[in-house]
Amino acid sequence: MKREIDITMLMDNYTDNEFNIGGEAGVEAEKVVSAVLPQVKQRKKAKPLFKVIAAAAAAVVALATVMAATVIRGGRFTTINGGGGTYEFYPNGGASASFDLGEDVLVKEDDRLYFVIGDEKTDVTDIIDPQTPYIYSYNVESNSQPIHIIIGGTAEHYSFVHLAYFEGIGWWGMGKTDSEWAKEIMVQTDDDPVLDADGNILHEHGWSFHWDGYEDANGNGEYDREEKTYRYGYNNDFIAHVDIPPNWREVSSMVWLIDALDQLGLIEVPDPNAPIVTTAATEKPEETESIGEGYAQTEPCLPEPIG
Amino acid sequence: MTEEELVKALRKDNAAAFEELIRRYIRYVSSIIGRIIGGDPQDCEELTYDVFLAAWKDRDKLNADKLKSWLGTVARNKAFNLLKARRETLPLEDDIIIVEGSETERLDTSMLIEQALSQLEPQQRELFVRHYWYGQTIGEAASDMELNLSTAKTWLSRGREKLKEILTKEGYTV
Repeated sequence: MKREIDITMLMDNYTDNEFNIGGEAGVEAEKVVSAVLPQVKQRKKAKPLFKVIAAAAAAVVALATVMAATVIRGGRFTTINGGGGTYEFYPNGGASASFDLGEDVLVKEDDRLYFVIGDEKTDVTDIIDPQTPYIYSYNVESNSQPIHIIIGGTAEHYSFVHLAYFEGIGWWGMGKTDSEWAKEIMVQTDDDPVLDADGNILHEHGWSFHWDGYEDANGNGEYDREEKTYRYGYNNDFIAHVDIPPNWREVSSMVWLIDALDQLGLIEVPDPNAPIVTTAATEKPEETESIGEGYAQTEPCLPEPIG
Repeated sequence: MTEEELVKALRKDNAAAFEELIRRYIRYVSSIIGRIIGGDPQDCEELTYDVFLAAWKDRDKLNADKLKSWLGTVARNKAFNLLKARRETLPLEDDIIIVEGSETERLDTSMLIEQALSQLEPQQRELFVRHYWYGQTIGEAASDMELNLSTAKTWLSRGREKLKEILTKEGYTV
């Protein structure tokens, strides 16, 4: 049997610790610093986001990175199903939070879907659908707001989110989504996005959903100012093209979740039949804002080195 | 700041350390990328960003002793990946070796190159690395090492012969 060995590919297994041959810099340091540093800083100041993951197991997820270990204040709460949340604030203004989903609250039996909390077992099969959520809310001692468990989808492809309020941080949701929904993302903004000179989105306000465990996809979209449309995608495969009212856009197949958030008064869903109105207050300035305070999108990672 | 201090600070999510990392290695990283993918400045820029973002993402795994070579490896791989995506190749000398044998599918190539290079004289090894790892043309490598072209080609050939020797010892026909 013959086999071709490509020496260049063979060299993928080699790491040069001996020669470290440099050359003329092809890129200016300032360019790289100004492009990359805001993305790093963004992680430390990341606002609370929904994270709906497609993983099979519950996980504790760090919400934001921190710089210092000294905690100046914090809190913790336990959820009804044995999970919980913790949050800490640091002297430099950084914060972190984590959310443990706890025990599964959904059980499938004979093609029926049951919501189970303690001895309480509720058949939600005919209650939920892709547009209609089932919401279970309860109070906990150490939290000023009720915690909501939101379920939607179908018995076969169900998803859920545990939504809790983290004092001083805001609402944070975490859950699991079936791959049926995993590719869709909802983005809501309170303000128009911050754009760079090429019209690429640098900063989104408000809520966003992570897609299938990947990094926040904010910033992969393209905002057309004249068309008032927003194309949103990942890896250049645009998955949606929606008309954007001045302060709101939605791209999601998790309509049940949007409806739940609307019912809970946490977001405002505009009337889809209302005309799109551009007012002076919502007119975008010609110049884009500085990205000093903004968030920039992390580029998708390319393959890691071998070895 | 030593490499160790730098890596330690990176692991503590220190943005200033990250900036230092960029400034310290931008020339090294971008020169590797530029050499492999050619002159498109935008591609070079983007890949350079990607390398440093990868370093930030993997900051917990960075080893202070091998920081520069880690960056170089990532830079090289990203550059070659781009070429593959474009279906481009570098003009490398005889970079295919054909082996024949009953067990070629099981051939572990990971150790081959280390073995072969370890048996070369340092300058010959350097030339081999410049050409096949850094993607320098044979002319560029020869010029940087102040060799004439004929000598450079001969030395590269020796490197390939070493690889073939090792393969033959492993029972393959080359």
